[in-house]
Amino acid sequence: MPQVPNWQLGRDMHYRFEDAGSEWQFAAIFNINRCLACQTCSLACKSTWTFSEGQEDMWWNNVETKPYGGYPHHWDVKTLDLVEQANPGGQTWGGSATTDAPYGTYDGLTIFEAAQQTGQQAVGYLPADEEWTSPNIHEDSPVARVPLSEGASLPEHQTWFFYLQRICNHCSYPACVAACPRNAIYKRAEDGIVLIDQERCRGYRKCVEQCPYKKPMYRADTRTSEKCIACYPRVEGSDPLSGGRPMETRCMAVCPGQIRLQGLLPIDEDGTWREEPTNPLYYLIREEQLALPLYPQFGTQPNVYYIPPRWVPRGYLRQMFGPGVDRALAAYERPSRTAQAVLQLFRASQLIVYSFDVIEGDKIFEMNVGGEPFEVYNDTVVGYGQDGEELVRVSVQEEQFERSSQYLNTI
Amino acid sequence: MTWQPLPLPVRHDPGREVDGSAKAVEAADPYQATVVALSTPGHDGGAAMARTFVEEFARMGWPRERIARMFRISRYVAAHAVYRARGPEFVASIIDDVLGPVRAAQTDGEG
Repeated sequence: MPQVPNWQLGRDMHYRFEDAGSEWQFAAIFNINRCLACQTCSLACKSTWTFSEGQEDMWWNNVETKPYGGYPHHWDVKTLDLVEQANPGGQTWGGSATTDAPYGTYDGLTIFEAAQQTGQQAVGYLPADEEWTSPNIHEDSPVARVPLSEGASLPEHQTWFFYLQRICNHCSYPACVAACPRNAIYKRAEDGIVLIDQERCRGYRKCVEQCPYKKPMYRADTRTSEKCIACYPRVEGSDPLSGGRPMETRCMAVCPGQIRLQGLLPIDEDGTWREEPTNPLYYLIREEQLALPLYPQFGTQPNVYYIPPRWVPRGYLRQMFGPGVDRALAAYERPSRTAQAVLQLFRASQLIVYSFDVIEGDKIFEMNVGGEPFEVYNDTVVGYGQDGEELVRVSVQEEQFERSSQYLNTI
Repeated sequence: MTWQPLPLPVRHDPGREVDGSAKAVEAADPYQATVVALSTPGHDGGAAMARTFVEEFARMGWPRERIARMFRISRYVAAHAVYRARGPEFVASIIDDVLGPVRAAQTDGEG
């Protein structure tokens, strides 16, 4: 079996195919700290794609409440357990962080390596039908009900929780691609988007079984599997709205909390990320390292990154996002001036920002973060498109309008 | 035939109040949340979450009173839960810590 480089693991690993590489890689960052679980992304996904006959099941974005459940239920714990069964106690990280291995080295088994004795490409499981019920189970049905001051009664968890936004990770080493016996799943050379060829798929559900993130879904009436298509007409720039310029996916573009940023990363011929520090995604993921992959230890090199929630116990976060958590949170809690400005690009434009520039502004106030003074400057970030055209210009201090309490819940 | 609106479903029967949340827990009910045991000694998730909210909104330029008001409004469920559980002094202490204690209004020395 070929060995491929996985920078998130800091080492090479087994994978079914040689690294074919792509010119660009679809990637995104979600800032968990700002998500309010309004599910606007989920509804945008659903309303965008399920509008016509044959498209009834084209709905992939979900937001789930951790640590209670998931969609399908407990998808992550179940896959973590399968790897643990293959290599008890061995899923540890070591080594020191370097430029090429920013999270150190993963000493445990990936889902591919754990499967070597099984005859499968990756360890996995097929969720039962009931595990696909209630995409945000246990957010709305906890045991406690607490009367609120205004007479309403809302469910309320009695401990910490956070929202996890999930789409297909369009992995660099997709388990679904490796798993498919008919080679019906492919990764596009132009943008790294992973798609299922509906003409070839015969519904064996190996992708459903072996994707650790459980993002391919089986459709019983067509007897094929389907998955997130990364709104590829928008990313291609073929959506009529875009004027030929690449656009963010719908779930990114609609986010009221402005927690999402999506773009394309240039990839070198050897499959590594081209050093592009003015690309906002590259800057936040590789330079500042404040956004991390979801369960990097699975080994698929996922391309959706998360700014971890600040209030969650570090042990839980390290399991979910790897050993880069402490550095990421330190970088987010006290962001550099450039990072503070680049974070303003989240959902600032529907068009994909390929590079940015920061214009320095005045110091506007000082606050206290972690017992130390923290200065806030009204810098301005300028986002540019693929051809260098200015797409957006946002300052750290944005103009605000406060809706009166009388109209809080109206348009 | 003219269109006639259907009668609205009756939500409350005064003689027969229904409260789904008051019904007995059944172990086999897949929608009944089970207790999640979280062994995180020494971790004060509520305080950490409240501090995150204060810092996030402070960076956006929200003034002190607007942040404090958010905690008081029940529609901001997570922030209000901390406010209700720990009290207004606790929230005020975090805001003070992040933005500095309230200072007396400065005057120009005239009048």
